[in-house]
Amino acid sequence: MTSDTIVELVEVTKRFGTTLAVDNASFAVSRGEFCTLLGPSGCGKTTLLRTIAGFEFPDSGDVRIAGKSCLDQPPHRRNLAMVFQGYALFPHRTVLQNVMFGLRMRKMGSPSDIASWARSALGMVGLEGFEDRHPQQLSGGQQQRVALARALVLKPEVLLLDEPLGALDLKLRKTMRYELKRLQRTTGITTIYVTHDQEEAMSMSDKVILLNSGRIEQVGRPEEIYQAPRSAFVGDFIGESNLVPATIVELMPAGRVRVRLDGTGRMAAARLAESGNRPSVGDAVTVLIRAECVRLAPADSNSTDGWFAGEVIERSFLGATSRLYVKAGGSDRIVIADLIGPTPPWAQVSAKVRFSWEADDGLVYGPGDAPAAGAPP
Amino acid sequence: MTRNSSVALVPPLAWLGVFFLVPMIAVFVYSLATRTPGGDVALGVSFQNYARIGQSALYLWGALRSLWIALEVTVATLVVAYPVAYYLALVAARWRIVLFVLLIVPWWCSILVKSFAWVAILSERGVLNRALLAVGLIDHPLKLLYNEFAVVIGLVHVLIPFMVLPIYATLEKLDRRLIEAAGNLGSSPLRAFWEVILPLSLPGVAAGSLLTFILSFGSYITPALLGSDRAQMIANLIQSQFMESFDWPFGAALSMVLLALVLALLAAFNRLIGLDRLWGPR
Repeated sequence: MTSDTIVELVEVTKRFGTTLAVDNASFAVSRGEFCTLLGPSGCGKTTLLRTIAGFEFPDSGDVRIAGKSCLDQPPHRRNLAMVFQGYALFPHRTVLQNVMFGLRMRKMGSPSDIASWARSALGMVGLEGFEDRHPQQLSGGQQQRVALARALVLKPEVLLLDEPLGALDLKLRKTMRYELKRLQRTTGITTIYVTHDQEEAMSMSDKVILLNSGRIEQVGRPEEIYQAPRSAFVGDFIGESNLVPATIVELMPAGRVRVRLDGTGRMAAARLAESGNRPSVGDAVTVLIRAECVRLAPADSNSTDGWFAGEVIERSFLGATSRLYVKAGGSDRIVIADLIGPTPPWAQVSAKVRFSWEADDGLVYGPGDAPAAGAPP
Repeated sequence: MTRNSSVALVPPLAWLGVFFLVPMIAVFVYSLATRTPGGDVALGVSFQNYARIGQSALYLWGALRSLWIALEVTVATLVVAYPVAYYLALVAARWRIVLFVLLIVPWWCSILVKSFAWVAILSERGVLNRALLAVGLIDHPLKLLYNEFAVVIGLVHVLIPFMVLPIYATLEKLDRRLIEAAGNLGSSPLRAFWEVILPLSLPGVAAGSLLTFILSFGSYITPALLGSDRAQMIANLIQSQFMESFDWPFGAALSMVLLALVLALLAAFNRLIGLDRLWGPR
């Protein structure tokens, strides 16, 4: 732990019945940091957040806020503010009363101070004039802002956000992402954010903690996690990737390897990921290739060694890029390739193409890294 | 409305018509009739029965006493039932089903049996007096039976499920995150109850109170068995017109007045809170 650590979890484990929700999780959040707990549903991210808030009590381990264990403190004694999934605004109170609630409960000032702080918090989220409405009379985005104002007005040590944008439509979600980030930067408040949306996590966070079935897979800056995934799970979860089962044929210097791809039996070059597990020759491994790292060429091009034959079976236009689904020749494997711009004329559906990747873009993960199943289309 | 659903409505409507509406019309027709000196009923249209109700203080007092007892019963039932509903909805986990059965089973047992049980408990030589005498808290038996106190206790016992269930329904549907949000914002559990849980359960409280009030207002068996002869409730006065004075037209007119009072209460509730709340929270 460094001197500016504000929240620290030490070997936290939590079971619900026989289900292991959180498995020995440790991490630290620095003052002013925007830290995201990211993972698929059921990965334990919400349980971790609820443990910090005091709604769950860990079976073992410790939760420290500002260096002191807070496990003996009930939720209402912890100086944290949470924005709940679905917002949990009080339906029997007006917007202003909702924002004043925490100030009143924590006896933070005189009634007139409390009212004026609440009004300025509503101003900060752009909701002047909505003071006397009831939450049910607001749109989802407006309710989200009220929930945010209700939490921020307390000036808590840490702001906890549980999938706060989950209920909004895509366009609004993207706007709110930017606004949330701006509010966080201007207030400088330490934020712990829970989401299953990797785009949200990547675009907003200083630090991402990626979870999978209760375990922490990787902690790092978004760039680190994207560029150097520690496991095939991370690589698959973040970004669009191809996971190809293969067998190590030869270990070469500088982390390079030659692998035989399962199914086709073709050889390919790749490099070992920095995942700790050092596979040896003959090991079954997973090769991960980012969709944008797959190179495509027309079938009749003078391609050299290391190119595979395939057939385009589906394509989708994504605006700035287009995504091609290519069935590899001699197998049922579908390879996803992202190209910048519109689909070239030689790569229409059912066109024969060739594809390959740079050895450096094929990341090899050892048998310890369970590949995640399921690839489109 | 589709054809199928109109067909489905036939049995309940027929049931209501035969067993509710027809008797109700019969009572209304009787209330406009007169009693001949010989004791027979002469059908006709006369408002003299209604006029007689207004002339006698006995019936006004009967109605006021019924309202007062109904109010006492409603308050006492609420005090007992709210914690039960709270426990069932927000605390009980494994035992919820068992507790529900314990709540409902006495409901299936006849009101007569329940009332006689209270006779056995409250009478001069009843369980309670004997216990108090044995412990030495009193020197001679307390007069616990055949008074308003006994009627209220008996009615509370009978009506508890009617109060517990609507309150349970609102508390059960209460979003638990609201309670957590209150805690997160700094409310102690007691404060969270006062600021969030109680206000949001008021529709259930109102619905349960209305049911309890109306059912105790018109109650007949419990005051007949546990109450005193001098302090009868309005339903007992009606019964004595039919079975003792054999003045059916006058008894019928009293019944219609009771019905009108209950309908007025329902209308007031509907105006203030909305009758649809009786079926559960929105």
